[in-house]
Amino acid sequence: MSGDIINANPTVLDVSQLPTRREKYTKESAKGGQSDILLLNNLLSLSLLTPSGDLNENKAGQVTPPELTDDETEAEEEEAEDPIDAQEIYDLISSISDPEHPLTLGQLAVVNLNDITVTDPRDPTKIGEVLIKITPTITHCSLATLIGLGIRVRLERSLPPRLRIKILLKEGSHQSENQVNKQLNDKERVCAACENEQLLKVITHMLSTCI
Amino acid sequence: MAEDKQSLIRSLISQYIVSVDVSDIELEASSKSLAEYLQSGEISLLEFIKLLGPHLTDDGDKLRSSSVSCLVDTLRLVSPLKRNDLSVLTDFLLSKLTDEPCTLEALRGLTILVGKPGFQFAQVANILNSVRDHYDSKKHLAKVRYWSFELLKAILTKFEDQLIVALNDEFIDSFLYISANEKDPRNLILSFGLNTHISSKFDIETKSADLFDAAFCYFPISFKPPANDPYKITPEQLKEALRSVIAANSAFAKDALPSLIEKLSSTAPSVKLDTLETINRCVLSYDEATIEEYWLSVWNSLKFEILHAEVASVNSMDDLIQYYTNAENEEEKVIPLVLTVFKSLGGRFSGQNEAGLRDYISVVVNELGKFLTTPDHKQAKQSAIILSAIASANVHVFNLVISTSFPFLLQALEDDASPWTISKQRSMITNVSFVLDSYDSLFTKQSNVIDPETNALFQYKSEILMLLTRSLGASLKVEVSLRCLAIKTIGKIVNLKSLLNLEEGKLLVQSLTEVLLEDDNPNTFGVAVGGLKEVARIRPSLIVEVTLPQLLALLPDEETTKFQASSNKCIDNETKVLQVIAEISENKEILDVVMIRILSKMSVLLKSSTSVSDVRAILKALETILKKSEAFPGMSTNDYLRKFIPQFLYLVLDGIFINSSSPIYHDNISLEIAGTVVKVIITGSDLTLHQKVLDEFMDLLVLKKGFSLLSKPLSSPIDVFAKGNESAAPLLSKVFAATDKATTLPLTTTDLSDRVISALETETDIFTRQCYLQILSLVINKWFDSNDDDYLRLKCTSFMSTISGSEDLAQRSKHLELLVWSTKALVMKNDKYAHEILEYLVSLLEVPELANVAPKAFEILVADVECFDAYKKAGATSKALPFAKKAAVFNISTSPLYKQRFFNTLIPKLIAGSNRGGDQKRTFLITLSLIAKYADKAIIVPHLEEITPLLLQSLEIPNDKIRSSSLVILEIAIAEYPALIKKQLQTLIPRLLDLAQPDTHTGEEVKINTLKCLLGLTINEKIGFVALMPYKTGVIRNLLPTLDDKRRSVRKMASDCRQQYYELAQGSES
Repeated sequence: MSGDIINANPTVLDVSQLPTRREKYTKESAKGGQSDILLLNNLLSLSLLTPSGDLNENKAGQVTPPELTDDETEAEEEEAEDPIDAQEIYDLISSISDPEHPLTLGQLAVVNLNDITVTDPRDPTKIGEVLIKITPTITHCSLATLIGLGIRVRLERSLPPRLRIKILLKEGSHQSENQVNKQLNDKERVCAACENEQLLKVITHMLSTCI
Repeated sequence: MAEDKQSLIRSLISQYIVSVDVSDIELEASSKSLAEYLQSGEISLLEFIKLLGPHLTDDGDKLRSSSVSCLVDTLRLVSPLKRNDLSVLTDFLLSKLTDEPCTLEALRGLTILVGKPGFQFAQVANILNSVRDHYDSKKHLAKVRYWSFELLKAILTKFEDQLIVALNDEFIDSFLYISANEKDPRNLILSFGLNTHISSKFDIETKSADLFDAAFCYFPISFKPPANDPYKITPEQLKEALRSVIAANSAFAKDALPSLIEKLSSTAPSVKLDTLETINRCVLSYDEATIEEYWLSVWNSLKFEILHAEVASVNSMDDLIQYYTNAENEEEKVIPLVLTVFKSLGGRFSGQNEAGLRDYISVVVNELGKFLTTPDHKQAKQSAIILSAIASANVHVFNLVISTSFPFLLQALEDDASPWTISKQRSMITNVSFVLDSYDSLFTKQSNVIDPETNALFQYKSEILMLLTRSLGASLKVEVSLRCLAIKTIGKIVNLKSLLNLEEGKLLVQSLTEVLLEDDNPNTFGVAVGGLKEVARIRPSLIVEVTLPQLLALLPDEETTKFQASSNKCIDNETKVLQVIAEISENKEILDVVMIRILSKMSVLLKSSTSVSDVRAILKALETILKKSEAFPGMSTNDYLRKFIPQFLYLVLDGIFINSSSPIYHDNISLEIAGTVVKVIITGSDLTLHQKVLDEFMDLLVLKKGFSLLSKPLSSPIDVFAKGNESAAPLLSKVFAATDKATTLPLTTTDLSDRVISALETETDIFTRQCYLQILSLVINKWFDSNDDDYLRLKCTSFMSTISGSEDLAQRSKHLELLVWSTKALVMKNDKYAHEILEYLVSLLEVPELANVAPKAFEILVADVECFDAYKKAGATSKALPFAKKAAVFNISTSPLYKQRFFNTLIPKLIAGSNRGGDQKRTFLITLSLIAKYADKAIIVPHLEEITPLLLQSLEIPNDKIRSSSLVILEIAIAEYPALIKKQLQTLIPRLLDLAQPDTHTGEEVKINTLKCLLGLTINEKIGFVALMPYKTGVIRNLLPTLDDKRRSVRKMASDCRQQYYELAQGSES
C-alpha cells in the first residue's frame, strides 16, 4: 500500500454503539413457556421409558421403552426459519477491515444498518436482491472502489447465489459517484479485478478480521 | 613434618591438579582434605606452600594455574587465617595478577581473602593499585573479568564506610578501569550493581560524568539470551540494573534526562518503552531540586505522545490503562507509561515545595485548558486523561489539579455563545468522567481521608450533577449514546466514596430508575440496568429505598392483583420486571428485602386467578436471585431457613396439594422450581443446621409427623410414596441432594429404599419416576454403608434376574433403570461392587432385545445429573483429606477421579465390542458416542486413536444425538491428534460435507458441529494447508447450498468456514 493516507483522521464509532442483534430484553418473554418445557425435557431425557400414547390401555404397558435409534422423530418438529435480514448482512460486512486504518467498516460508519435493504422472496427458485449503500469517509476517497470490491467478495462468498448483490455509493457521498457505481456492479470488471493477485492480497487482508 | 605426611599432602595436591577440568567432585574432595590438615594444625601454611611451591613456579601454564587454584580452593575452606598470613598471601596473589594464566585464580583468591575475618583495610589500597597497574581486562575472557567485579564487590561490601572516607576516588577509578568495555551480560549485571552502589553512596562530584558514561553507553540495552544460557540472565534484569544506575544519583540528571529525551525519538517501540521506564525511574529517585529543574523539558517532550494519540474509546482510566498495557502493538504501550511519568512528576513535589508544584500544575493546566474549554476539541479527551493521571498522584496534587482545571472543564456550561450540541455534552461528560477516576483511585481505592472542606471536587459537585441530570433529563430518547454515557457516569459518581450525600445519591438513582421505567430503547435500558447494578454493589441502601419499591409496585398487590403495565416495552410484563429485580439484587441487603417482598407478591398471586406461568415466573425469579447469591462473599442463608422457608413452603404445598382452585394445583414444574429454591437455601446454610432441616422434611414428607416446618399446618398430611402425593417427590429429592451427608436419616436406609422401590413398581408417570430414582440413588450414595452391602447385593441380583429373565420388555426396562441408578450411586463412590455390575451391563449390549435401552443406561451412569451437583464447604468431613481445613464436598459421596476410572475401564471394552462386528456393533457404537460427550478432554485424549475410526462410522447412524456427540469428540481429535486425522481426511471431509447439506434431515446442532470440525481442520497448523488444498474447491463448492440454510447460526458458520477455505494458501504464504 502507498504510504500516503487519504483520510488520516476519520471519525470512529465505539464498538458498543454498533447495531447488534439484541435479544436479551426483547424476546426473552416469548421463550418463557419454552424454557419450562426445556426444564422438564432435561429431567426426562434420562428416562429409559417413554409414556405411551394411550393411557387407558394395558396398565403395565403404559410405559414402554423408547426407540432410541428412531430416525429423527423429533429433530424435524418445528425448525423455525430465520430469514436473511439487513442485520445479518450488516454482521457479515461490518467486520471487514478498512484498507488504511486498523478499524472495521462498521466502526468507520462506511456501512450502516439503515443503508442495507434485503428483498428476499424466500423461494429458492426466485431471485432476490441485497442492496447496500456505502458511505466513504470522505468525498474524494479513492479507496471507495476497493472497499466496495471487498464487500462484494465477502458477500459473494457468504450469501446463497439466489441473492443478487448490488453495491452503490450513498447519494452525494462521493465526487465520482456514477463512475464508481458502474465499476462496482460491472460483472466483467469485478471478475478482472479478482484475477489481479496484488488486489486479491489486499482483499484477503481486509477480510481477515471477519471470522 | 613426618615424611609420610608430606607424601600424603603431595599426593592430595597432585590429585587436585590432575582433577582440574575433569571432576569437580574430586577437586572439592582433595581441597577439603587439605583444608582439614591445615585447620587442625597438622601441617602449617608455610609447609603447605612449600610443598605446593614447585608447581606454583612451574613453566607449564596449566600446571601453574592449577596449583594456584589448589591454593585458593584450600584457603577458601580454612578459617581463620593469621593476619600475617593474610598479608603474605595477598602479596603473593597480587604478584600473580600479571601472570596471565593465573589471573583468574589470583582474582578469585583475593576475593576470598578480602572476605576472611581479620583482613586489614590497609591492604585495600594496595589491591586497588595493583589491579589498576597490573590487570588488563582486555587480555582476559569474560570468566576472568567476572572475578575482578567480584573482588571489588567484596571490598565494597566489607569496607564501604572506610572506602568513602579514605579511598573514594581510588575505588571509583578502579571500578571505571575494570568496567571499561565490558560486554558479557553476567558481568554487566555486576558492573551495574557496583555502579549503582557507588553512585548512590560515594562522593562522585568530580567523577559523575565518567560513572554516568560507564553505564549510559549501554543504553538502550538489548540482549537475546542464548539457548541454554547457564546464568539465566533475562533482558529485563539487564534493563532493570541499567535503569538503577541511571537513576542512582541526581548528579546524572544533566546528562541523563537530555540524552533520554533524545532517545524518545527512536522509531523502535521497544527502545521508546525502555526509555520511558527509565525516565520514570529517574523522576522517582532524583532529588526535588533536580525535578524542579527538569520537569518542563520532560513535560514538553512527552505531552504530544498523549495529545496526538488516537485514544481508545473506553470509559475509565482503569480500562484505558488496561487496554494499552495489554495491547499487542508495542507502540500503544507507550501511553500508560507516559501517563505514569506525568503522575510521578506531580508526586515528587513535597509539601515544602509548594511553588514548584504550582508551577508544574499551572503550566500543564493552562496548556490543556484551551482544549478543555471546547469539550469536543480533538485533544480535549486526551487532556482530561493527562489531568486525571496527574491528579491521582496524591491528595495535595489532586486538590490543586481539580481546583485549577474544573473551571476549564465546565466553562462550556456557562458559555452561551457557542451552540450547546449533543456532541459537546457527550464530550464534556467523557472528560469529566475521566477526571473523576482520579478521585476514585485516591479516595475509594487507596482510602485517603476525605475532608469535604478541603477536597476540591466537592466545590464542583453541583455543577457536575447538573450536567449529568440535564443530559439525561433534557435529551431526547433517541440520543442513545449521550444518555448511555450519562447513565454510566452517574453510576460512577454515585459510587465515589462520600462524595455525594444521601439526598444527592437518591436523586441520581431516581433518575436512573426513571430511565428504567420509561426509556424503551433496549440499549439505554440495558445500560441503565447495568448502572443500577453497579450502584447496588456499593450502595445497596439507595437501591432498596429508591428503585426497588418502584419496581415492586409494578407487580400485583392486595388491591390491584393485576400487573401494572408500564409504558416501557422493555419491561412490559412481569417476567421482565422480575428479571430486572434479579439483575440488581447484587448483595444480601437487597436480597433480604427482595425475598420477603416477592413472597408476599406470591401469596397475593396464589389467591387470585392468575395463570400458572405467572407463578412459575415468580418462582423462577426467586431461584435466579438465590443462585446468584451463591457467589456473594460471605453469603449465608441461615436466616432464610426460619424466615423464608416455612411461609414459602406452606404457600407452595398448599397450592399444589390442597387448594384445588390454586393456579399451581398439581403443577410439577412449579414444585420442581420451588424445590430448587429450597435446595439453594439448604446448601447455603451452615452444616450444623442440616440434621434438623432433614428431620423436619422427613417428618413432613415421609413420616407424616406434623407440620413443624411450615408456618401453618396443611389440612391433610403428605406422604411422598403414597398415591396422590407422589408429586411431592421432586421436593424430597432436592432436599436429599442438598443436605450434608454426615446427617442421619430418621428411619433405616433399607426401610426407606424399600419404600422407594415399591413406589417405583407401580408408578407410571415418568417425571415422578425420575424423582424417585434420584431419591433412591441419593440414599445409596449418601447413607448406605458396609452394613447395607448384603441388602444392596440382594436387590441388585433380583433386578438382574428380571432383566435377563423376564419376557416383558417394559418390566425389563424398569428394572434396568433401577439397577442403573443404584449403580450410578456406587460408581460415583468408586465402590468395588459397581465394577461387577458394569461387567453385567456391558454384557447386556449383546442382548438384541435390549439394544434400544442398554446404551442409554450407560449414558445415565455418567450423565451430570443436577441432583448430584457437588457443593463444597470448609469444615465438611472428607475421607480423602480428614485433617484438611480446605473446602470439601459435603452433600454427596464422590471420588474425584471416578469418571476417569469409569471411562478407562469402559472404553476399551466398548471399542473391543465395536470392532467385533456383527449385529451388536451398532449398539456398541451408539453407547460409545453417547457417553463420550460426558468425558473431560483429558480423559478422552488417550483413547482418541482408537475411538476416532469408530466415530467416523457412527456418523452414518441417522440419529442427531449420536452424530452430534460424535462430532464433538471428533472436534477434539482434530485439535489434539492431527497426525491421525490427516490420514482420514479422504473419508472425513466428504462425510462432513454430506452432513452439512441443508436438505439432509439433520438438526441445527449437528450442522454446527460439522462445520466446526471443518473449520477446526484449517486452524490446526499441524494438519497444514498442503494436506487440505486438494479439498479446497470441494469444500467451498459443497458448502454453497448450506449458505441458504434455514437457521442463521448455520449460515454464519458456513460462511466462516468457506472464508477459511478461500484463504487457505494465502494465510500460509506470509
